[in-house]
Amino acid sequence: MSTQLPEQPFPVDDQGQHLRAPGVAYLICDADLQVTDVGASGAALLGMPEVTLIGQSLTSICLPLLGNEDQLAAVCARTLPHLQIEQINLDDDQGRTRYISLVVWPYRQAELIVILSDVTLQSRQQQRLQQQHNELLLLNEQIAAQNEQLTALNAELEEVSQRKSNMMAIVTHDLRSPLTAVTGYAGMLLEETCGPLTSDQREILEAIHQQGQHMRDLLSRLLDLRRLEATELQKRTPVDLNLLLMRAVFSFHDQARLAGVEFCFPEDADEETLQVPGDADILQQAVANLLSNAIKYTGAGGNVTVRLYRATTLPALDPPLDPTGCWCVIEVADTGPGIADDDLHRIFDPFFRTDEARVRGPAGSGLGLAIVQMAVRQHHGRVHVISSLGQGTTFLLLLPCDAADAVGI
Amino acid sequence: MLQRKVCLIGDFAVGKSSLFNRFVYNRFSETYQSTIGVRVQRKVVTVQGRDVALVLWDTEGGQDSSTVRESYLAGASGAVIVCDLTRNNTILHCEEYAHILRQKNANIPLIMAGNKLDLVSPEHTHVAVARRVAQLIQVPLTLSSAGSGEGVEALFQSLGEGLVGVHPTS
Repeated sequence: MSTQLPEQPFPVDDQGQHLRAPGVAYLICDADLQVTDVGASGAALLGMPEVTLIGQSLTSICLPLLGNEDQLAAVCARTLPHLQIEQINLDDDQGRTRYISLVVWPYRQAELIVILSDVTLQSRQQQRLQQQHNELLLLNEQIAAQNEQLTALNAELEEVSQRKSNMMAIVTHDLRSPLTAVTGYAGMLLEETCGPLTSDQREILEAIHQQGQHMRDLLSRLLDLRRLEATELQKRTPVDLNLLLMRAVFSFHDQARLAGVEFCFPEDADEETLQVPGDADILQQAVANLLSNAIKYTGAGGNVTVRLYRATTLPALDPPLDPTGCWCVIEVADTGPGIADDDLHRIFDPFFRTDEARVRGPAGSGLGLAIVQMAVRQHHGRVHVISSLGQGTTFLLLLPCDAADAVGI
Repeated sequence: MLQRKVCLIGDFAVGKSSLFNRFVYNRFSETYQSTIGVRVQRKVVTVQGRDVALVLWDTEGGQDSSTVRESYLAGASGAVIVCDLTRNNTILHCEEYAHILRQKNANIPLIMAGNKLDLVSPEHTHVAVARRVAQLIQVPLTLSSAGSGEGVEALFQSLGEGLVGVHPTS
């Protein structure tokens, strides 16, 4: 807060009559800084009776002037135009703070006049604003410090996660090689290449072979998931989805037949060739996981239908799909047991299996759908699931076919 | 009696008023209340049997030294540069405050108060930073806590000694 001061010394007449007007608070002192005159307002501001002020040392009744004797002498000698001290805090007996500002001017021959102003009202307003401002600044500082800590923690966690992924890759890779040998040799023995087997021996070898295969599948999926998590899609070439689906359907044809599941892939005479930019192997794997699940869980007598089309209407997803883009849809629908609503939001979590699947379903790793989602995300696409218990499940893989980074489309 | 004007200077919310209140009135409040303007009070310390009246000026703090009202520093014989040991910036700003004070009076006795010691351990990085800054600006450092009172008397006693030339605070 700054007081506007006139360039000339305080304009009073020799009698100082106008200073005695109500509201003007002043003290007059001689060159020895002894108070010689005081206005009633000045005494009131200082909280002392007028009579007790006369004859006292200016610096003893006005503490902020203590230590400024050299400057007061300079004002008195008119080598310093004035001395100003703003917003002096004065605490009363009740602990309330009043604020005064003072200006010391040269007066008459060798005297000083101290003009006191009560600036409590403005100062309190300023104090409130300043308080809020400072509290916000402190809060900002705390947030910034917490951000810094979180960033450091995040970096640390990322490093730990990376180390964990690397370790998992090494472990799974090193486990897979000996498992290949175990299942391979078990298979050879089952084929009786080393001589005929008794029924007990066959039963034991079949168990070794089956469990070994299961473990190999699990390790393969773990490796696939880690690979998808760890790397951005490296190659993006046009992937012919029609061809990809035909291959997938062909490769699962026998499995469906053995399971008693009717496998449908309706062919359309006017079928449009649909391509997306991406990695054919990764997409192939995603489709294979969906088909494998659909056949496994549908059971004998059920149907699995695979369709490929360009989306004309988009499902309502959160966040929504870009309605201006072109979306290819791979649809895998089954007539299996369906998925409960409570489980729908968790089916893409790694290792998640529904209670029903864990208790009564076929063996599984709980990684297939996590891989599907990761693979589709790598292609900037989304997976949408529609399911109702007892009626089946439909998975829609929505893939952008006109992505900005499309290659050769 | 020897009288000396002493300013408390530093960023906002570092505890200048708390040190002032602890030293002058031996009281402390957890509630932060920002200072507007200046609060002035007198307290006598005894240095080698001699009384020295410290006229303490508790000045308002800002975000950094650019907001210092230089009129408050006029005629100061010494100063306490206060920083908050929990806030690194307030420690780093001490160098600028020392610069401002020395521009007005090259030989002014200064002391640096690393305040809020009760909120950090003595091994905290900020304490090491405070020691480094104090060394850099050639000002003695006193670690203090207005909350617990630790180091407060020693802080002003040390400055009092500097004001009468007993202690090398300048």
